[in-house]
Amino acid sequence: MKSNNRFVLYIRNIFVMTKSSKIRFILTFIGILFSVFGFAFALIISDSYFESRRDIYSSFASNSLLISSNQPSEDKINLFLENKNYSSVFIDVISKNYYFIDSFDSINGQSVSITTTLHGVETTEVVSQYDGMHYMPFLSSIKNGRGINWGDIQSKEKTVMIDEYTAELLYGSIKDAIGQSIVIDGGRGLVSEQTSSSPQKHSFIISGVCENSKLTEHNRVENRKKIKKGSDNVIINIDLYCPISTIFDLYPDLDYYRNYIVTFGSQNEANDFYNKTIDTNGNQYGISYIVSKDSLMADITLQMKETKRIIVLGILLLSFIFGISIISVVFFATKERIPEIGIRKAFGAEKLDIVFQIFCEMLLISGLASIIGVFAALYFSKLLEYYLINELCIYFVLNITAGDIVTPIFVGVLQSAIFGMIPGIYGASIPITDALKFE
Amino acid sequence: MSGISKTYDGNKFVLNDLSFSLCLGEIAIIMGPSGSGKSTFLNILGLLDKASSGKYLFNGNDLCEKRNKKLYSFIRGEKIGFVFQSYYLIETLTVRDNIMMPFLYSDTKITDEIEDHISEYAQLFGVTELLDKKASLLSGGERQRVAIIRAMIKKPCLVIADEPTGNLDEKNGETVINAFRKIAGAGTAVVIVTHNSGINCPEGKRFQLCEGKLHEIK
Ligand SMILES: Nc1ncnc2c1ncn2[C@@H]1O[C@H](COP(=O)(O)OP(=O)(O)OP(=O)(O)O)[C@@H](O)[C@H]1O
Ligand SMILES: [Mg+2]
Repeated sequence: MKSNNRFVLYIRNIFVMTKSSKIRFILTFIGILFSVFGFAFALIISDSYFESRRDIYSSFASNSLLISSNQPSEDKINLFLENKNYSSVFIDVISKNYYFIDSFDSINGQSVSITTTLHGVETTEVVSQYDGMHYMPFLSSIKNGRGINWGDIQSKEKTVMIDEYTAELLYGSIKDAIGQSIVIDGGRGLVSEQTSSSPQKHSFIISGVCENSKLTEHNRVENRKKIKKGSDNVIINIDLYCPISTIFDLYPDLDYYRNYIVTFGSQNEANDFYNKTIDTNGNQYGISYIVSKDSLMADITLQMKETKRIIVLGILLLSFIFGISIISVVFFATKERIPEIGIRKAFGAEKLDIVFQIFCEMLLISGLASIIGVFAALYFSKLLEYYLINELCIYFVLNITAGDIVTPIFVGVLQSAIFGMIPGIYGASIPITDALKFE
Repeated sequence: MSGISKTYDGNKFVLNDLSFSLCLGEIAIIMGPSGSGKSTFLNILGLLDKASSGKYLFNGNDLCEKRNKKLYSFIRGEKIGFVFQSYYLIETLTVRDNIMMPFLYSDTKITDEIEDHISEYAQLFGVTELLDKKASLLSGGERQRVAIIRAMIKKPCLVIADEPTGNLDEKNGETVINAFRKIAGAGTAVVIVTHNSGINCPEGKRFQLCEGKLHEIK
């Protein structure tokens, strides 16, 4: 480096002085590293969590309400049946139990167990899927074949609709799935529940393939990963939709609960209905819960705000505590440097030059620590994403915004620069002759 | 300067109604017993400290009238070069960066010419090999020579040296004094404090500091 340049000379001074003040460097570095890491990590994870949920909710049918009742109670359901504004009702009867289809071993010669959630339905524009919290209605369109119709319901047809993912998984393509038969072995779970008769195998003909929802897209990717990894025990859950009357007919003693997905002519009508079910205290009466796209979105936005507020409050508090320790560390380090400050002033440095120099040194330390802290946060959130998806099978997509990276760096740098400057101002204020003699 | 007094504790006056003046190109050699206030005087002369009372005219600027910190820093940086009794190098910087320090806080352009000057002085004072070493590795005499180069490198109007030959052998001491004579010849005022009365500088004005006053010795 050529020293024939004041800027280079200045930078070199900053570097050397930063490096030589070891205790300050190490302690400030560690402090900033951890606080920036914590802040960035908290922001990334909370943002990602909420964005993942939003992502799911965005594919939720907007003019449909999911009315769920843990116990089938006709009285309660009358509430909406009396309301004539809806255009269709999707009655989804979900078995609490899993049913084996088969031990399936065509994928890389690997044995893959497939379990089914059987939904008894009336119409097929909207399908229901479990998002980890509750079943939710998703808009869906038929990709191939046909959906379940009133004819199937009346004749208690043993026909099912599957989604694209299931079709590809079991038959290679959505075309090849149509007309295939799928055997549901009522074995597992039923044995303990159904004591009157022994488990029965039932064969269903696939009549149609419907579009994937976000959740199935996600499951598809994750299941592929599992299969690729060559895990011994790959268990894949799929959803099948069959006429509701068929379920009642084949499994009369089935332990089940009902979801009614009511589709209205417009979103406003859906909202009106949703609001009618809320009493003055804000509780939903009569039914265990009703969810709508709007109510879920509003919930998540509120939660997001609250979480952000807690994070920011925590950071402010931590920044203050860190700030005080930074002051003491830098104060300690500055005391050793008072003669140096005196020398610089004797050769023309003003008080402001000294403060600025210490500011730059702190900027260097905290900048470095912040960047490493943010990278660590990125790395660990990637790790967490991997863990959540692969080990816990939770729908989680990392969502990293510029703010998640810039804000922690900004706070970390500002915090150290401001708190670090306080001892700097003290050091720069000592008269030159006293500074030079300072021990 | 005239009527300069300085007291640290309010009772004992280290400098008492002292007067002193020096023109560009002149050398002043100041002697006096230890503790007589030589360093105190140099500090006031070099604007590192302020007098308790008195008048100080520097290059036409009246420096005791108003306390202008910016002006003081400017004069310290641009017009005065200081060689301290205990050198005061910044230990962690290299010798070269120590010498360049006066340029750090000024607008003077760092030209190739200045680089050449550093090499010249380094050659003259025998510290060429040390330029890229850390200052903390230097011996006392080497530090002193580096401090002298640092004071002279900017060609200030006034060079102030507190015991510049204290740690040097005779040959190096002479080199240093000759360098001071040379910059005085080029128009710089030089003030040297020394205990060595045998210093070889025939054109220098000699002063004795005692009882807080400066007396010129003819
Ligand atoms: N900051 C200070 N506070 C109080 N007294 C001081 C201070 N600096 C110097 N003195 C006193 O002022 C007197 C003059 O000190 P000074 O350093 O000027 O002496 P000196 O002539 O340079 O001595 P030497 O030849 O040993 O360097 C001394 O008695 C010293 O104790
Ligand atoms: Mg002295």
